[in-house]
Amino acid sequence: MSENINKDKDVLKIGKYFFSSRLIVGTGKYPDFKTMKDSIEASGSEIITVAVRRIDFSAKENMLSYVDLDRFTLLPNTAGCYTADDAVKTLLLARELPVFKTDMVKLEVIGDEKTLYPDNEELIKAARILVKEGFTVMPYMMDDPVLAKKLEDAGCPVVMPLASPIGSGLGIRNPYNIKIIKEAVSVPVIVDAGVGTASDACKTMELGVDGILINTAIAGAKDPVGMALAMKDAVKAGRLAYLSGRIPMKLYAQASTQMEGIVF
Amino acid sequence: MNVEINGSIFEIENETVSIEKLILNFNLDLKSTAVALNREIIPKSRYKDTMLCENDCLDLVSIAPGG
Repeated sequence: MSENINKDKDVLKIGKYFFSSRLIVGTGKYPDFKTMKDSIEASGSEIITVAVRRIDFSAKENMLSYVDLDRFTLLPNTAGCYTADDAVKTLLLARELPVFKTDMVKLEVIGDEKTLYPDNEELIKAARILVKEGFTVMPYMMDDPVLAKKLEDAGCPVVMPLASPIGSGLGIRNPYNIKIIKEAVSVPVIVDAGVGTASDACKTMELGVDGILINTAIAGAKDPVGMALAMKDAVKAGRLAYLSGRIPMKLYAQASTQMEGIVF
Repeated sequence: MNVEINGSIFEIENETVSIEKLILNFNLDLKSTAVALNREIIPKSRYKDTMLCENDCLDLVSIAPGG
């Protein structure tokens, strides 16, 4: 192990919070709460995202019975909000729920129903208000370095560019922009949305980003618990590969066995 | 009196009912329920002394699955 990289103490810092896992998982789209519980536990994640919704009085089960609040940090999202005002209101409402033990929030302000791409203008507007309100704002954003800088300047202690559209599983469509974002900002970069399978997660981490947020790729897999385990290992492997430094790519072969002492 | 709760109309017999009492009557946990009354967020500290009025629109919210 390299002396100048302490891989055992490689922690993810988001604002004033520290985490050892670099994988954040969503809780949506699972076939049932038991599978959700088993999958988020298998993922090794410490942060899980949840929505804030009207209580369904006819529901037979309560999601809360399946979430260990001592083990996970719950991150309220603003999924479905199309304006800064709605997103801010949703999170102010979430603040009244004691299940949220931190001021961390996932901010998304959707601009288009088909692509679920964010509305940049409303996103920045909401981020500024929420930062002033004292939230640790984690914005889901386009893979745009200029926007990333603006959100950092607005006070977001992390930026979360998409790899590809939410739930698409297309993987990382513009790795170069993600690398530029990583260079452009000094806050951590967490890739949020689009990862389809373990190799996507690994390749994304190899770019040097600080973490990944995954929901559909795990929840929608044939075996969500198995995929959660795969994602956990992929994120770890990708991070370690990044820290360890990959070899440069060459066009021609370079023998790995020495020629000296060859007999024939 | 009639009160709209989460999009449905409920008839409440007791004319003086607080938000706290309503939450408990619905068998909900106070710790996992947040409230908006007529689109305004009600802080937890005011559940006890905020009384419902005729035609009030109440949103009782909690966490739900999401990404």
